[in-house]
Amino acid sequence: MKEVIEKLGLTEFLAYLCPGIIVLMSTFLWVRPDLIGIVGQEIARNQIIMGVSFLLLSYSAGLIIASWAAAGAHLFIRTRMGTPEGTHKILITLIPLWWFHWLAVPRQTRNIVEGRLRIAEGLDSYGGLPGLSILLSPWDNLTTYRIIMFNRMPDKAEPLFKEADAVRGRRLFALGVGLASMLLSSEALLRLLMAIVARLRPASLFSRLLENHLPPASAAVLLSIAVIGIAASFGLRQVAGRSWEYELLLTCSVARLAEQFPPNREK
Amino acid sequence: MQDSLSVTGRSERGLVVLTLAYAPALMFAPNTAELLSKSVVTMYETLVNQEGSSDQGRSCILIIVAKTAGSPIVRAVFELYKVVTDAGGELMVVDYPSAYSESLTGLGILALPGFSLAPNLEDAMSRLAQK
Repeated sequence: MKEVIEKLGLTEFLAYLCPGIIVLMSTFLWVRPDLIGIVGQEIARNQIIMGVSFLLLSYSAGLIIASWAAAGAHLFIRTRMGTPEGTHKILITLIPLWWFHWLAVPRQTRNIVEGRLRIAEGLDSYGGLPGLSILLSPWDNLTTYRIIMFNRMPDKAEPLFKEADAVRGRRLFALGVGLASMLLSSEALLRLLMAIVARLRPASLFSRLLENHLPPASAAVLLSIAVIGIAASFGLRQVAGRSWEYELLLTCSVARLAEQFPPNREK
Repeated sequence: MQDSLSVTGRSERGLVVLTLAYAPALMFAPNTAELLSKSVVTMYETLVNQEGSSDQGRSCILIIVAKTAGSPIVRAVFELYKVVTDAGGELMVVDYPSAYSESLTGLGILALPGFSLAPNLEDAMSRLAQK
C-alpha cells in the first residue's frame, strides 16, 4: 500500500487536498449550504460533477494554503533565527505570525551548520546558477539539493533519498493541515466572539447577522472546534518541525556521502 | 585571484580585528572558499600568537568590505568561527552585505553561541568589551 501511495504521488496530493477540504468545510461556519440554489438542481444531483468540482476546489485551495504556510513558516524562521535586516519586530505582526506560523525550528549545532553549509556549497557548485542556495527557502534547498545530486551519487545513497522524500511529504502535510486547522479555529473563535457580543448587545449588527444570515452553531460546538483545531495545529506544526529536522539530517548525510564519493559521475 | 582579495589585521583594545575585502567576481571563482578560509584563519592565528592572549584577546571582529556574498564567504566565516570559539573567544562580523544576510540565517549560523553580527566596529567593540 505504501509503495502504491508513493508511486502515484498520493502523499503530495493528499498534502494539498486535505488542507483544502478543511478550508472549504470551514465556509459552512459562514454560509448556509444551498447547493441547489447555487448550481441548480440538475448539477447538484450529479454526483460525478459535484465530486470532481469538490476535489478541484479543495486541491486549488490546498495549493494556496500550502504556499501560504511555507511563506509564513519561512518568515517565522527568519524572525526566530534573527535575520538582522527586514525583521518585523512589531508586536502586531509578531502575534499573528506566531499564531498561524509558529514552527519547531531544527536544533542548530556546529555539526548541523557544517552539513547545511555543505548542502549550500553543493547547490552553488552543481546547481548551474551561482548563489542558488540563497534564492531558495530552507526546505526548497534540501529538495533541490537531492534532485541535483540524485544521479551523481552512488547507489548506497538511494535509501537516504527515499526516506528524505517520504519525510518531505509528511512535512508538507503537517504544515498545510496545521495552517488550515488554525484558520478553522480562528473562524470558530470569531463566531464565538460574535455570539458573545450579540448576547451582550441584542440590538447590535452581530445579533441580526447571527439570527438572519449565518448558519446556526451552538457555543459548545464552536468552542470544541476552536480547541481541537488549536491543539491539532500546534501538534502538527511540531510534527512539521521535527520532520524538517529529520529531512535536514538525512540530506546532511547525503552531503557527507557526496564529500566522501565526489559526485563527478552519472549513474 | 589573489589580487581581488585582501586580508588585513590588527590588535585593538585587546581584540583581534580583521578586515576582509574582495571583488564580487571572486565569489564565482573555483576554490575561493578554501582561499578565503585559509587567509582569515592564518591572519587570526598570527595575531593571537603575537599578542599572547587573555580570553578577550581571543575574540575577533571580522569586518567585511564587499557588496556581495555567497557560500565561499560563509565558509570562511564559519571556519574562522570554529577557530575563534575553540580558543574560547567570540566572533563578531561587521558590515556583512545586508542583501545576503539570508545566507547566514538560512544556514543557522546566527543561532550558534559565540557568533553575532554588528552594524559597525564601535558597536562590536563595545559589545565584546562588556563580556
